[in-house]
Amino acid sequence: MNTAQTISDIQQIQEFVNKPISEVIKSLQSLLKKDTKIKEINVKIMDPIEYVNEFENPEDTYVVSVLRLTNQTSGTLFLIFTSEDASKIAKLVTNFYETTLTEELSNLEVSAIKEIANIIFGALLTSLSLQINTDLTYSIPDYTKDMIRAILDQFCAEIINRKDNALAITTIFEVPSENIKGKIILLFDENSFMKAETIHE
Amino acid sequence: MNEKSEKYVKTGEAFVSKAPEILISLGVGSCVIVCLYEENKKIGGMIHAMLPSILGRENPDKSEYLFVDKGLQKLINEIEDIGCKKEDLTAKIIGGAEMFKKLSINSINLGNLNVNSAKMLLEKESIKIISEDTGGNSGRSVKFYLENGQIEIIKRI
Repeated sequence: MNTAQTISDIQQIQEFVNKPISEVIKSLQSLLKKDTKIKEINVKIMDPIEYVNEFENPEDTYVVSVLRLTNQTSGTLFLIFTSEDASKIAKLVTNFYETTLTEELSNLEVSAIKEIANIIFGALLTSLSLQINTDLTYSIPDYTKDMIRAILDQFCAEIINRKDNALAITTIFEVPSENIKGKIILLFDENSFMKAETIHE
Repeated sequence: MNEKSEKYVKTGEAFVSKAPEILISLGVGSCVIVCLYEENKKIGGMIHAMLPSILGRENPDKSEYLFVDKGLQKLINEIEDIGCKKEDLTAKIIGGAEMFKKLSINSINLGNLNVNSAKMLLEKESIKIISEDTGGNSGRSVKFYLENGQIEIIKRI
């Protein structure tokens, strides 16, 4: 059975994504001109329902950019910031400081976040594509600011519709000097990713 | 003295209770919440379903409450089992958002399908829908007060 449920399989996937994630961090570091570090990479294979239900604060609002992979390797990529960190990282990129009295991001900040998402997703997809030696097809990134569980609903529902388990690869990165943290989540159908890995082998 | 307590109804769950309990679902996107209420007995139930239909997806490891058609029918049966008559129930529907219109596969609006599935089942069971807050592109949290059947909807944007 082509499923990954053992510790060694999870370690293998973790090793597999190390390079693409490192490429993302390099791109981000070059964009921000600040030291950027991977804080944690976490690989989980689990029921998508457990995944959406495990968020401790499902109502918390995040700034989220999303890109969907299509065809053979179906999956979804998320770039997630708190509003405060989104605002901080946007200011770093634009070098433009304005004070707003609400928690809403300005148009300039939203544009900057979209640009950062393009760069991160681009670096990740290029590296993943090289690693599995196949072209990846994907959507245009979309953006929203909303409750985290509401954002994940649709994608977890789609996985349940197709498979029993989801493969969730979560990377937390930080820009220590600015006290910024961000999260990249790769959410795949479990078997879809294993197929990609087989191509690599 | 009856103390107000809160029960969180997560994805793929349903719960039946009576006043003064408050049933709560947090961060609802494309999922649908159906709240059923029997005003005289102050008994109500809430389901938090994720997919419109169980057809072709029967799996003993998955909760039936994940699926609107199967789960909502089960919830109606459970409320009847504790002494409520179906004809005395009213329904409120919340959720079914389309969070990312650009990312829909084959233009399928999952939230809309969930809401329609709930409406079809309620119509079949002759349960009157007295209000709904559905669709749109933002998440919702829902509080259902069994003391008076009121619903509080919280949106963060």
